[in-house]
Amino acid sequence: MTEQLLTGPDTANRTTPLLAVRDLRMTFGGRTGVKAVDGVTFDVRPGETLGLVGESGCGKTTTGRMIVRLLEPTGGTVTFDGRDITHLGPRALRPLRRDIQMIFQDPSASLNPRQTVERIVSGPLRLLDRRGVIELLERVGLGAEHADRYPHEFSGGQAQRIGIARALASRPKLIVCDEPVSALDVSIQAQIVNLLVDLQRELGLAYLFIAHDLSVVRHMCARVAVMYLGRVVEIGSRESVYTAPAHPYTRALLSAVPVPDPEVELTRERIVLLGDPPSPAAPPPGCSFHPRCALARDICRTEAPPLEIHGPGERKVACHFPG
Amino acid sequence: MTLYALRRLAAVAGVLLVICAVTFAIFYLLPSDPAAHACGKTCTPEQVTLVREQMGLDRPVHEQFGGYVAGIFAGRTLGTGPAALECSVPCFGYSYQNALPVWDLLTDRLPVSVSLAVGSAVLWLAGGLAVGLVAALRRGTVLDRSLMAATLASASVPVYFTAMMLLLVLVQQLEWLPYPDYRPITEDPAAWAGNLLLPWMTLASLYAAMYARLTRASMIETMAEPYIRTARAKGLHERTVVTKHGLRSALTPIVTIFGMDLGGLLAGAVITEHVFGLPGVGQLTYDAIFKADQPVVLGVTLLAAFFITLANLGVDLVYALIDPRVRYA
Amino acid sequence: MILQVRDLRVSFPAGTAVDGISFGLERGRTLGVVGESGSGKSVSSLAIMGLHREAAVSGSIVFDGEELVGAPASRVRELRGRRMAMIFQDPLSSLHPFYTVGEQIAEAYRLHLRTSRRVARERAVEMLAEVGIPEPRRRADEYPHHFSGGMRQRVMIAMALSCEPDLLIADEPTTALDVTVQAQILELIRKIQEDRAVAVMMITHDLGVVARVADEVLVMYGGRTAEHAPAREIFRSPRHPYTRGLLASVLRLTAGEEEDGGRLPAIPGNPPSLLAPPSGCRFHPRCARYAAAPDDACVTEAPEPRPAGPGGATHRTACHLIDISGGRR
Ligand SMILES: Nc1ncnc2c1ncn2[C@@H]1O[C@H](COP(=O)(O)OP(=O)(O)OP(=O)(O)O)[C@@H](O)[C@H]1O
Ligand SMILES: Nc1ncnc2c1ncn2[C@@H]1O[C@H](COP(=O)(O)OP(=O)(O)OP(=O)(O)O)[C@@H](O)[C@H]1O
Ligand code: SF4
Ligand code: SF4
Ligand SMILES: [Mg+2]
Ligand SMILES: [Mg+2]
Repeated sequence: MTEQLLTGPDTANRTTPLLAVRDLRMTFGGRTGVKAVDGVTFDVRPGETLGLVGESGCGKTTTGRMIVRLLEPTGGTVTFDGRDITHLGPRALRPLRRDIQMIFQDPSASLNPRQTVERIVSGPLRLLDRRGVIELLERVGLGAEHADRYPHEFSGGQAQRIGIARALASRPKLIVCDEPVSALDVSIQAQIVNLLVDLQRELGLAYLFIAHDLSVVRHMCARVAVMYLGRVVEIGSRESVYTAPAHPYTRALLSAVPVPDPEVELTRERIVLLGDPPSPAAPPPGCSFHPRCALARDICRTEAPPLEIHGPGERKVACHFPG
Repeated sequence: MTLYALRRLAAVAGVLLVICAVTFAIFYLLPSDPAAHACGKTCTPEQVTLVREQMGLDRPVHEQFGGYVAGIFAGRTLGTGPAALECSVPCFGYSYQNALPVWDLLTDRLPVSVSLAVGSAVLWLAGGLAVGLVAALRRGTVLDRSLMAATLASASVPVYFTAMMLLLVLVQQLEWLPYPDYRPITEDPAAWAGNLLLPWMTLASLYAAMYARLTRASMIETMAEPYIRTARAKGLHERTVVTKHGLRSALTPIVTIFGMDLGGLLAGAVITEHVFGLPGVGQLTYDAIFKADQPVVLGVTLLAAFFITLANLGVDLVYALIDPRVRYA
Repeated sequence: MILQVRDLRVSFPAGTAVDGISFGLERGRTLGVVGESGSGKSVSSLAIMGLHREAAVSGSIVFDGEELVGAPASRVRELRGRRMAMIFQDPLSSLHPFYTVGEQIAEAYRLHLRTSRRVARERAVEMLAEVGIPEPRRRADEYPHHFSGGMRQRVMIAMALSCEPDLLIADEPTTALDVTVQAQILELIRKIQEDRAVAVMMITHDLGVVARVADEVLVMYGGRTAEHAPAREIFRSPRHPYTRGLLASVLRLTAGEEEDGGRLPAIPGNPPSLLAPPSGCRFHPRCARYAAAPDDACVTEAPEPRPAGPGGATHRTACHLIDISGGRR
């Protein structure tokens, strides 16, 4: 199965993408402002999960918000199901809102505290009657007895299930999951991850799965995009990115994740990066990773590396000296 | 910091000009015959005509306003001929009913209002902060609850009632204090304070109650901050934790409110001054409104606006001193 | 043993958050404390530091031979910040926004070592250099909001270590940080621990962090000990059903068994509530072992941690149905 998903340069043409993002840009605060997203390109195919990882502030949420069109991009295009939705107005967006849904990081804060679960799930458009709501609640592991309660009566994991049920109500084709398990306890994370995987298999959903936790992404996503400072620095199949990372940042990121096994921890190579992630308000010139990169040379300081195919499959890397 | 202060000062000047224009519009343009209002109820038609000419009401609006503003900075002559009135810098108009320039009236009354405001501010700050602090640190105890009940009662009593009660008890029954009679501080500081004590207490009891509640809430919130836990984890004495780490942050919201309150009071505490018969700006305002003395009303409005914007500026500067995050913003 | 905790209990008016935990810690060693949100990790560590104000703490906390439970508050305060120090999860809110980082680091040093302001400042600069802040002399005069998250946590560490404590409690020191920054901070703590033989209590819910730094691990569930063993054994041969479930459900970066679409073995249900904890063994509503072979003892009797495992007495598990050598009980 993995074979089939990953090999061959023609994989991209096998199915037309459900979502195609091209050179997407978002600059906050005018022309001199913060380039939160600075030219991001990727596809999400029907029924697939693309993982989007990167450190705090690299532009993951902003990318997600542009795709669900909570934000209007300042550059590039978003194409959904063959239709350019980059600059659609509120009215034209309405039918689209059913097809693309979003799940948020903080489960309790994203639910209206004054609405019952039934109202939250059936949504402003009243897409479902009570029976439909209860069916959905059962599908996400809750029950009829929860329909009349309010969000504060639920634990974090349960609240996230409600958020998922709400997203499912309009039978979307794509769900943008913005750090859906980051705020949850370890034992609850596994429950939610399983739920998302099951739903995908039953309903043929596609996910854009945003997270900073590389382990979760590895489990969920057949393809992974790594972002640094508003750009995708590496994108490819799970295997290529996790077992043979080509970008120095991806390598550092992977080695920084602690592994729950003391023996592995004792022996594995660890790349400790210098310094802090830079601010997107003042990105370094050339390759924006160069101040922290051990491999940086002169060209890195002046010339931004393009995202190019490197190695097997369709893995692409933005580095002058990919490994 | 200096640059910041200068920028803010320029902004204040702009705000004052706008307020000036708006108030001017309200007082000079809305009434059907401003001159009749300004002159007063007992004026003869001839007098009204004279006033109309002196106020320049026959000229276009922008010239009238320009004249008013110019008068503030350069002084001006109202009217022409033998009846012309000399109004020296800063000219805020002329009160026909008092037969004095508005500025003279204001400067005459201002020391009283300032004495009242500053004195009571000292009292209420000291009292309110102390009570609020004690209540916050003894949170949930009987002491806390009784203090809070007392402040609630004190804050909900109208000023004139407090004033009457204090007069009755302290002046008439116990005869501890004289009936207030304003004496300038320059003449006799002891008499100044003694006479103002009663009005101070009246105003302070109202404000102190509000400040106590505010201080308590702010202090409780601050003491729950993680950095207070850090301070304790360093092994600091609780006293240091409260004063150095807690109080400084807890006071920031109070600075804002204090600035506003003081600014407002400097331009006259109408009720208190009236009850105690103190000849302050508040009393002047009261009389002016009562007698429809429009130039004076305009003057005191501008004065109030001036104090409030100035207080605002003061608050922001103090804020920048207290909170480094504001300084560099 | 620098720290010996026996049967520690912490109760709030609302309920008992920590219900009898015991462990010891040697100089130069690291104890990892893991458990879900609300399992009592922070409450236990605050009890050791003597930082609870509204909670009843009982049991025994012996620090370097000295009993701290029931000791005079002033004595515990002397130790706090001097011989035992603590760093917290959110480094921004744990630093005072109004004081420079230099002042904040120097504060504890000045207090405990009774040095002059100048000496303490030098010490602060030295500590900033030690935790890897470039240009420490200049940065000492800056405020916390000028620092990034990782640098703030370095500042917290510098502050905690300025008096050369024997015990450092780190309550989720990297939870708010990015992975690459987390790696830097963990590396820093490890290096400092090696250099100075500090005992470290590392509280986290991240089993990966524990695997990286801990010599010994205490797994908490619902305010009680579930399992306590050398780190290697916790990961190699966990005995408690909760530990097993936790390890099985953790997402791994390297393992190859579960592929895309594979299901994780999740622990069903939700963490227990402090107000109405389940009877008997608090884990029984979620326990796979109990579900497979229900035993009355699990519902009626709280299991005590007892030696069970290859590590002999050092591996303690609180479960009625421990499977030690294939058989039950
Ligand atoms: N509305 C906004 N106005 C100005 N700047 C913004 C806005 N939203 C985001 N940013 C900035 O854009 C950058 C990217 O933010 P974004 O939230 O997309 O990051 P992220 O990758 O989701 O990070 P995290 O992991 O912290 O959620 C950040 O530097 C952020 O401060
Ligand atoms: N001051 C307090 N008053 C009442 N209950 C408290 C107080 N502090 C903590 N608790 C309760 O004690 C229990 C344990 O809390 P604790 O903070 O130790 O959890 P934790 O294991 O540190 O969790 P987390 O991973 O979320 O930090 C929780 O149920 C909490 O609600
Ligand atoms: S382009 Fe240069 S600086 Fe950037 S990641 Fe590659 S080697 Fe490092
Ligand atoms: S005591 Fe019983 S319920 Fe508790 S962990 Fe052991 S088997 Fe499970
Ligand atoms: Mg985000
Ligand atoms: Mg905690």
